[in-house]
Amino acid sequence: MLWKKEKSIIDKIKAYLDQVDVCRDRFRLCIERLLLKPEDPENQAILEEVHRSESKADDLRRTIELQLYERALIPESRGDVLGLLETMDVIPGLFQSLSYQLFLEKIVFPDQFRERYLHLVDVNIKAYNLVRQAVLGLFYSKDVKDLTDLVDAVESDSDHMERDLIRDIFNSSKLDKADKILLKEIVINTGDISDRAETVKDRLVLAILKRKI
Amino acid sequence: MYRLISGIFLGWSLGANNSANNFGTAVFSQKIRYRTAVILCAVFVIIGALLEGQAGMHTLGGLVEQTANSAFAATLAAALTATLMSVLKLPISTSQAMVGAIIGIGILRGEVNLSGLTKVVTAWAATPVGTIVATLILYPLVGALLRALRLNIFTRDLILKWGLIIAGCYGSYALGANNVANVTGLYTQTGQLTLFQATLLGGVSIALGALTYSKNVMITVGKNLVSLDPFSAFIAVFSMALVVHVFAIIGVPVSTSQGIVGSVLGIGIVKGVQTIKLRTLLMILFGWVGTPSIALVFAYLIFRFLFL
Repeated sequence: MLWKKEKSIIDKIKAYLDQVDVCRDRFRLCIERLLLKPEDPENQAILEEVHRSESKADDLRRTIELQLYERALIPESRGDVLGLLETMDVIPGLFQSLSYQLFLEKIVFPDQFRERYLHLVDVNIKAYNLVRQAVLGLFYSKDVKDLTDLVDAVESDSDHMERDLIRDIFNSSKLDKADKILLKEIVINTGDISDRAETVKDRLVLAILKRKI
Repeated sequence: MYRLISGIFLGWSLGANNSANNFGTAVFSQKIRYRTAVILCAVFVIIGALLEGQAGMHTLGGLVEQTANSAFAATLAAALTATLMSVLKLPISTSQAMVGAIIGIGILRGEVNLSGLTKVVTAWAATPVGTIVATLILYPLVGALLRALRLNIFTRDLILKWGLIIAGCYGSYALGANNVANVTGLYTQTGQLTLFQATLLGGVSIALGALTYSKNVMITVGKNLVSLDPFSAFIAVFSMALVVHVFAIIGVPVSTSQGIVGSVLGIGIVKGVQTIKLRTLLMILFGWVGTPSIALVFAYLIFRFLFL
């Protein structure tokens, strides 16, 4: 009985992260389609899938939070897990808002930036993947030092890519000022994913350090 | 039988103050409810007193030959000293107060067993030193074991929660076993109580103190100790319990408060940080000299004016 409630919470956290993975995959597909086929009517359906998967992840997070309070876990574990989940939960929110931003603002990336932007998206997804693995490691007694170091490195890569991309967007003579500003916003918002992954990583490292003997 | 009241008073005061050392951290960090903590504390104090509380009674009784009046005066003097120190917010060592009181009466009657006194005073100094050494050994040892187990966050925190509760119970057991001699030890020498009656009455009065009046001290001690991480707090409480228990077996009543200070100092040495303020160390030194001196004066005055 003593270990059951902890196992139940770990299972739910795993289910939550799996749901964020679904949201991530829908987001990646949605961005690719919005970049390559912006006028395709099917985009709306994929956008809805991003939204639904984000909502499901949100519901799961709330269930875990309630369970953490109701089942009287000891405060240290509860505080750290709640903090991690709340910080992590911004990431599916970013997947969703970015998809809607591209769709609603009808942003079209010029050909010369499309591939680079998709690469930036992938680098940011990689940051999420790494921090997801690290968070899970905390609950499955894995050493996560290498993963947390990688999150830092990937976030730094993303920063460089963002800066280069924004610089080149503003150097482009084919775009007007308004488009440049819109594209810059999209680039910055995409980079927020790895920034948030780094924040999750910081919380994770603190939780580990608190328990270091 | 009215003479037993001073012993009950001393036991109550001891329980109110010293149970905090055992459960302060666990209560303050919300690992256990205050009510549950004091009930556990009371139960284990009584068990400790009943099972292993007899050895210390022989030691205290051996310092000075006691009569019913001298036992009453010494216990009352120790209780008054403990109360005075509480009012002054100074750390209490009932062991040191009781020894001071016994010597006060011994001086008045011209009979003190110096060899017994040496054993007791050596044990006072050995308590913080012993807990420092225990901490220096236990911290890396238990730490290596925990690391080797590669526990997840929940299991690790759960083990430490139970570790703190078990250490608190062990500390309470050691408190009962070690300190019950202070409370009712002298009454066995005068024949007012049998050994069993003395350990039972002493244990129950300490338990009553824990049950009725330990909350504030527990929160204060918890606040000071909780700055330690749960693992360090567990090692600190467990080391204190171990050393106090060893002294209970040897038969020398010592101070759990000074034991816990030694443990926390030990944690500081292991982790390379300062965990204890100079003021706290000076308080211990004062405890060694000031507490027995005040009790000595009280006992001298009470015995002289009431019974001579």
